[in-house]
Amino acid sequence: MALKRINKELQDIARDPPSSCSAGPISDDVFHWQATIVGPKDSPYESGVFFLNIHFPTDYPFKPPKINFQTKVYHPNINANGNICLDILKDQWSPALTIPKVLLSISALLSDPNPEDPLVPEIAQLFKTDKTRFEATAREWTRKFAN
Amino acid sequence: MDDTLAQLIDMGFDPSVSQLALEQTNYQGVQQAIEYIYGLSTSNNLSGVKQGSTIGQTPPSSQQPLQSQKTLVDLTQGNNNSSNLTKTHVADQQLTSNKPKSQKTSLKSSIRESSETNSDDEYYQDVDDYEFDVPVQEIFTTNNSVIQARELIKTALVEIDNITNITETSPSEATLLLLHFQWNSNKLLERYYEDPDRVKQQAGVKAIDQYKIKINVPGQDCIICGDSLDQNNGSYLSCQHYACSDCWDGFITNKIKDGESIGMTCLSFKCTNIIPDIFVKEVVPKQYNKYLERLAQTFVDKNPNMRWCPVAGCGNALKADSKAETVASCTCGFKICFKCNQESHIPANCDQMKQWKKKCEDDSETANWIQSNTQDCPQCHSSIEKNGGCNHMTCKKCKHEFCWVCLGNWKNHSKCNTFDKDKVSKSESKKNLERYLFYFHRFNIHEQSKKFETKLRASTLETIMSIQNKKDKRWIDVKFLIQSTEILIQCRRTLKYTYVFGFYLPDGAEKNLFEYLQNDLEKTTEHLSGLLEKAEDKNIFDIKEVTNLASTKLRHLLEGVEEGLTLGGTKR
Repeated sequence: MALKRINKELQDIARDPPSSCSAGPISDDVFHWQATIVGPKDSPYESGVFFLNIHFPTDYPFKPPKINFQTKVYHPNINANGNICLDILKDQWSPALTIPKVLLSISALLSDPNPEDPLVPEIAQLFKTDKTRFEATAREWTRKFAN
Repeated sequence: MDDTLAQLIDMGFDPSVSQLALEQTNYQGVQQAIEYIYGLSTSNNLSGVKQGSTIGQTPPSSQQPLQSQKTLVDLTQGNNNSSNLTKTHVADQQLTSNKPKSQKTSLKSSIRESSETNSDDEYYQDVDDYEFDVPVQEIFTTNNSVIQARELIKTALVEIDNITNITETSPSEATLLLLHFQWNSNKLLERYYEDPDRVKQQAGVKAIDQYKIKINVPGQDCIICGDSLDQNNGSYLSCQHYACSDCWDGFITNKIKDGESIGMTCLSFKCTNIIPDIFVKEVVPKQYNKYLERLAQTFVDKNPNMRWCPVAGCGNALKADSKAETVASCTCGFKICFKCNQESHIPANCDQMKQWKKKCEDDSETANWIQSNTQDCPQCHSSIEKNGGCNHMTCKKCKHEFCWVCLGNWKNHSKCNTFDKDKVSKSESKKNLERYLFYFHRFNIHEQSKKFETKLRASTLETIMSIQNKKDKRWIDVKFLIQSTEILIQCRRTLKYTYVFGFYLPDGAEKNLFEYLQNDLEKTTEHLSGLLEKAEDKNIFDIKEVTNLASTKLRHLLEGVEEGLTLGGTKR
């Protein structure tokens, strides 16, 4: 089931590639993908290229894929290990979601951080109190790590 | 049928017992009949405990043998003169122990005789009374029912069925309604009659029965795997999110594996449509039992009047009959505090237990270390750990110089080898610590004893058997030992928690009286414990007597605490 579904997603991506992101297996192992997201416009991550690791569990799509950033990101919902705090990757997961949809959600999270449910409280605090400084740091990190 | 009876008689069972056992087991076979006869003694033991510990719903399986045993005893008594069977069987010995003729008359009847002739022998008359002075129930009584682990699903389904009938909804709808009202049927019905539609809407009941299973959906693909649904393989709920049977199966199976049951929603993203029971049953019949197990779990988890028995491997659920209930007991003998879900801790209250636990976590480990490794500076009273061999100490905090051995001022100290009992002065913090350790030590000791005495439960049964084997005693003469053990455990647990209660009780008349009662109960408990550990036929009267005493003292203490020990005493 998992294999069939992953292959279908691959075909779908090849046929109709999502805008500003890409995804595909790293090697022969189709359960292990790499994806890229281009930093969304009008955000401090603009023009950065962010790499992500995707691991499919054996009971995919009934269990969510495990996704984390390989590129360092300064963001309230993404920690130093690249873990992402996003509901659809946890309890809000639905088997009707696909990798392009998830990547789109992550891209939306980059444009629109959620400081009320932070993974890194210090960054969330700064985001809420001093947005200019937050954006400056995020831009700095993007320039340093995502170019 | 006659063959089985003959077989049982050949095996040494009493004919009338065998006949009855066969009847009771619907003539299923020798094995069942034997199990039934054996079951009489064991299930009776249990119901003896249960009688005391739980009132209300007890499974019929354990009640029935109790009654039938009476019949059995009568039967066998009537039959005894004629039957000369060898009494090698345990059950036989228990049931037919009243063999008055050739052998020694039973102790009980001899006592009765003596009490009839000797009017001053009131002690024995008293003791001979089967009932305890203080009905055991008074101490044991907890108004809760116990739902055995294996009965849980059945109980939940009965509840659903009940609501289905009253509200004239489908079982799936009834389940959702019950879940919404945390399985409180009274509240459900009350609200439902006020405004059925609104209640249904709140509970998420929405066209729940409009689903289709395994039908042809031409022109549609499964939203999960993309297969076309023209092979009679399409299923969907009222929301019309089409998926193939395999995907539904995988989805629901996974959810059940994760512990979900009623209330799972459609597989489409953000769709809140609830999957009805019947859909689960038809799409994944293999998982349906598991689904019901989970459902029964929510039946306990979501119900504020229910708790799991916390004993590992027990699995029973306890149901309080009213919200005011604080203590509930399980048929396994464990008692829990309904409020904080811990072992029942009367006379201490939940707040005191919380404080005590925190204190124990914070203090007990470090306390011992501080006690044995540090001394207080005689001037500023801060605790000091020695880090070298020299006994000339300088306090880091106040720079006071003193002798580690006698704690005297270093400058004018000459000899410190003479014991001066007046000089023993302790700092406030150390005194507090010692006070705590005093209580903690005793709390722990009773806990340890309780652990050992809980093991007595099993050995009590053995003791009863062996007394019955050796001496000519009836089951009824010795079965009180089970209650004695329960009372002992009860006393032990209460004593343990009296040290928490005592720790937080301010000094004064109240405390003096409390400590007097505590001491009294402690002595009697130790006495009873000693007697029960070497219980034999010679001391069963002592045990009866002391059990009586212990239960009285336990009651006095608990009542005293409940009502305030002295006039104007602090009511809990």
